[in-house]
Amino acid sequence: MKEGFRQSMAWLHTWSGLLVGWILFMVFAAGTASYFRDEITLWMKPELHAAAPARVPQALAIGLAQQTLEERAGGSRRWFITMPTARNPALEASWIPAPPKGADPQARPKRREFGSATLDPATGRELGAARATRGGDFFFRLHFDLHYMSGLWGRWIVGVCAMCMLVAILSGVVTHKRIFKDFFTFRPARGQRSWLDAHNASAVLALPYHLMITYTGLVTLMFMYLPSGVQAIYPDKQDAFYADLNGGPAGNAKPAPERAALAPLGPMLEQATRSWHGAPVGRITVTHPGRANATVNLVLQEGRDMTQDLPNLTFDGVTGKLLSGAGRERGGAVATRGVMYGLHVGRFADPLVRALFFLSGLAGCAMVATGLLMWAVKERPKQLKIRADGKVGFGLRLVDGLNLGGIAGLLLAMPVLFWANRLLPVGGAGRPDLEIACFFGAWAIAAVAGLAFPARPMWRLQLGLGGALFALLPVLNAATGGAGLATSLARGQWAIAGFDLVGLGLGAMLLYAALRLGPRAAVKPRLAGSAA
Amino acid sequence: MTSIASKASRRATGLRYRAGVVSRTIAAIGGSYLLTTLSTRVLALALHLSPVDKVVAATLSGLAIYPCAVMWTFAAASAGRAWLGLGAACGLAGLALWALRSFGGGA
Repeated sequence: MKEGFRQSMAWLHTWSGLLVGWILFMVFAAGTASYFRDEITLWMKPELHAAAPARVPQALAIGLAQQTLEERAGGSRRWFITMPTARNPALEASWIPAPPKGADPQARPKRREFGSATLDPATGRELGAARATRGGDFFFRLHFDLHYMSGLWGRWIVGVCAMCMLVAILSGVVTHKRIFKDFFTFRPARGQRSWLDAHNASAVLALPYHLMITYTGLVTLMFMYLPSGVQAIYPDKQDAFYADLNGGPAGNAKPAPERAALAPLGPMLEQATRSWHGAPVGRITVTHPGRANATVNLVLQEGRDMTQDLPNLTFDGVTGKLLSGAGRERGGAVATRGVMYGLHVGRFADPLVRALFFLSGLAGCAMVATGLLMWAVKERPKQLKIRADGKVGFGLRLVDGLNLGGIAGLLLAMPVLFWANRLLPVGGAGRPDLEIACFFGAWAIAAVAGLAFPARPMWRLQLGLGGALFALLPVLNAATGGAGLATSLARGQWAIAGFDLVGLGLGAMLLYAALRLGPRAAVKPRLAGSAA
Repeated sequence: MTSIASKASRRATGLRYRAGVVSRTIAAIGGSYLLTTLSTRVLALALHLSPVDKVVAATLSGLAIYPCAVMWTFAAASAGRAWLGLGAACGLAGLALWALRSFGGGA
């Protein structure tokens, strides 16, 4: 590029980060929220706050789930049962209905066609009809599928942005002269230098996390982004590759025409738990229930192993005999990929590690946001020096507007989703989509307003509004039927209390930022800039 | 000394600079992807592992090769050298692929 390796890498760092920064900020924010996917879902269903279901032996719960599924989803292609955990004490049963007559039986079922029921694990009764909402799953899917487009497009877009991020991180490290010193450097209220320090601190403090999360994020979808390895070894046999990768036969067998009763799931669960030295079962998949070729797959509960490829056993659904999976030998590379995948999704994490992941994710958001802002802060004086009229060029104005809409706008839209969740009338068709429309509607308004008036008062307005909406979430929760902070803390419902407290904390931070952008603070950077 | 000639030459330098950036960007996105694809194939065929491990190890490496190739494209002294380097690396990978196909017996 220009002269020198470091300069060329600084250039690459700037541009690969800037061009995809706004999408990256959303991906980071949605991904960080997804660490608390279950907790967000619980908060968004206040009908379930009243009391946590009692804990019961797994064999009892699975029997009740089987009963419910046989009554409600007899002819389904597949059943899924998720056993209660500390994070989600309910028993979840869902199913893929049989394809309608005349439809292509090989066509992949659409997610919205899935049926589901949330059950009390002690009684098998459906838990107090909770409102229809996507809950935390919305942020989880948004993180890599985006929205209002096919998931395939979304994944390619997010993948390209993630690769730019990886390039930006690697070139950023190369650019950096003094990584260790930057841990401890922050020079506040000094304009451009403060932004640089904030960018360095948020990037360097959590650098191992940023590098890990970006690379492992690409790993989760790597056979889609880079299929040449699969093509070289498994030409025209992708299914065989995935069967080898995931262990066990491919799950795409056609249902047998003969009917046969499904064996009780309880004994299979007990056998699985015995083979895992008493560790509980997490998820059960029944393929072709009620058919002669039914199979039952049981997976170890999350939180006991770092890898995504958790130990699992497959049983014959009719005879109840163990088919495969007892002791599968895993090669080094496959095991490595499993752990990388597991590291990315972080389902193994206990509460402390989960909190650290969450904080690192927030640091990632801060890194992307400060990087984007720094470009504008650096560019403005350059342009003002050339142009006498005090106006700035189109590019800088665009970046200013996108920064506003992409950062402050998203931080405003996220709490709007939670407010919509509580304020929209319960019941009625398409309620989950309406909540999501409120999220994108608020974001779109904020983005248009940001592009139209990319200036400090707009930052104050959007940050202040987002901060207030976040900070008032505990009030909203208590006022609209959820377990308020006093109740949830007294009862030890940490998931609900934690959500309220995080909302309060994020709100306080955003309100503080809005306050700092007040008219008086605006003078400071210029004064300090001359001293530097 | 703000003569018309120096203005024009400055504009020409700016144009050449921009063309260099565009050329490098194409090399970084397309050329590096081609190099990554080829080297992933070579690795997958050359590694002595079980079939599924070959694929996974090669693809994991590919994800690291791509950003390094992109960085190299922008670190090269000129856009022409970036293309030359990428072309040479792709040629080597292609040669290795041909050799593996011909003499290695494939998978």
